[in-house]
Amino acid sequence: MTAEATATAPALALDAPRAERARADVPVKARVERLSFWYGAKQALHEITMPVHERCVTALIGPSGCGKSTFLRCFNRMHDLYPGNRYAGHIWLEPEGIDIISPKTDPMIPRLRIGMVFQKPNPFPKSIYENVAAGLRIRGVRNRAVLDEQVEKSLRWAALWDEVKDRLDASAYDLSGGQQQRLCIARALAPEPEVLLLDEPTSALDPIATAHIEELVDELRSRYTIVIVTHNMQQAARVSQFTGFFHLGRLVEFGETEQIFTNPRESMTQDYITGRFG
Amino acid sequence: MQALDRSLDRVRAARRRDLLFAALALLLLFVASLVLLGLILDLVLRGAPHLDLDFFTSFPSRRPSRAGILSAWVGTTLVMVVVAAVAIPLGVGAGIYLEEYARRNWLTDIVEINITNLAGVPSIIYGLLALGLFVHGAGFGESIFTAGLTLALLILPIVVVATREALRALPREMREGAFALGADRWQTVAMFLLPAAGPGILTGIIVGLSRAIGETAPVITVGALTFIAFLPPSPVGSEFPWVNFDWLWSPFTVLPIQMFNWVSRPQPAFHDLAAAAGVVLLVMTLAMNALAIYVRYRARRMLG
Ligand SMILES: Nc1ncnc2c1ncn2[C@@H]1O[C@H](COP(=O)(O)OP(=O)(O)OP(=O)(O)O)[C@@H](O)[C@H]1O
Ligand SMILES: [Mg+2]
Repeated sequence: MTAEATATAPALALDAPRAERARADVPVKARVERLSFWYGAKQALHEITMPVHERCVTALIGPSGCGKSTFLRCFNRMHDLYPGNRYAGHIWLEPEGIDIISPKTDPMIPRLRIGMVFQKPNPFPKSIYENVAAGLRIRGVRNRAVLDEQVEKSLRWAALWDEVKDRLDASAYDLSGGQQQRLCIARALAPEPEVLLLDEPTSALDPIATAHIEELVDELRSRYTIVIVTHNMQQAARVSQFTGFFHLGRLVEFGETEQIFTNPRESMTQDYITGRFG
Repeated sequence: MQALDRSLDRVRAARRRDLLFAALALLLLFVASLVLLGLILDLVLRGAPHLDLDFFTSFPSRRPSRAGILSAWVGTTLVMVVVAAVAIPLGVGAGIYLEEYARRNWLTDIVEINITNLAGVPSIIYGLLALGLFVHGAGFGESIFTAGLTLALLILPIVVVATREALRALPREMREGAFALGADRWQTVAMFLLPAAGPGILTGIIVGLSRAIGETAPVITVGALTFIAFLPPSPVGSEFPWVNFDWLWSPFTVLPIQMFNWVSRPQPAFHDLAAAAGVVLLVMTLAMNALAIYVRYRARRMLG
């Protein structure tokens, strides 16, 4: 089944506009192939083709409104929650070669395997503990010891444990904005998803918490595949191995982070990372 | 200097306007509450002397001094049990379905418009409908069950609309958070949305039940008796299985009808009894509202 599905998933279409070739020596976790997306009649993404490499951090950069969040939200089919949204193209999730955005794929399949941290912190109106345990409860975990252990581990990962260990039963709404964002990171980590989508996870954090999260992202890379949206060029350069530059719903350039930041192929990328526009 | 003077003028004008508005609002509030307070005070003053234990444990009687509301408050309580048992699951369920499950199409649009309009239908119409549907059509008779169903039908739109509005008021980020974690629709509703919408839904339920407890016209239409000197069979018994449902089929009366019966008598003593029964009804309604406020207060403290 697996082999066959992989075989039917075509390799990257080389004739696609601005096709970006995956680096052959790094395994791929997801292949985005000619992905377009419409909010009703408004097209927000245009034929995006790029790989998401396994156990790597892929950074998405680009000016506000260029479609980074829209792109990220395709991976867990968040757009399905609203009527009138439409996808075209494919996102192949490896190793099985499941097409995430195919109408035949139940959206729960990518959602159970891909975790997400939203641009705005969105904790549930529950206790800190229950927020982190939510993903496990959804997956049917009842054992208190397992929950306790995973909650503590996830909170430590998100650099929040020391601040909340004495008040796990307090409401998540009592936390500051930055703490809430780290709580959401812990919540996404708790079920240990294969891929983690981070939409500007540090935009509300102070430099110390930001450094923690960047360290975390770097550590998590050994086990997870991470896609991170950021407006901070230094952050993208520090934490990512691959970078995609978006502009007006198109992927202008994709490549190894080092290459993008030192020797971009497109002049538009050059202008953006040097702060000349956006 | 001139700039300062001008801004001071502005501040003074703003203060004057705020003061004027506050005074006017206070006056209106005062008048409105005074009228209400007067009515309640009158009721309490006339009813209070009758509010002793005997009043609650006596059946109605031809002699005012021996008349009580035993059959009426028991009837009201049992009818309300039926109303709650029918209207809450049905209304909340329908609200959840319409808001979280149903696809938007012309059918759900029609249902939506109808439910909103149903809330405005005069209650006597529900009585007529129930007379044909439950009493004669389904053969439930002039029973507690029929009355409960009728009043449940009456408040169903209130519960449905309150449920939908409470769910709709939740931020979409909450739904997204739940779905992004891999929750299915039912988990999203049961684990995240319902607990958060609970206080709003509860308020709707209480508003509905308070409405039902005071309704008179539809209950008369489906055959509530104005004079009844026995109790329905007890819902709990001393023998296995300890509960029985024969009371559902019993004839009955309720507090507002007992009041109506008493105020329509010529003797003034009965009018005072009606006032006493009114106080009981009022206290029951207030107690329900107090419960709703308490639950909401607790929920808000939990949510921070
Ligand atoms: N629900 C929606 N309906 C219609 N258009 C939308 C919707 N959400 C986003 N858009 C539009 O789609 C485009 C891409 O938006 P998106 O949120 O993906 O940008 P972004 O790159 O994440 O920006 P930012 O950096 O500000 O978060 C924008 O032009 C935006 O106006
Ligand atoms: Mg965004």
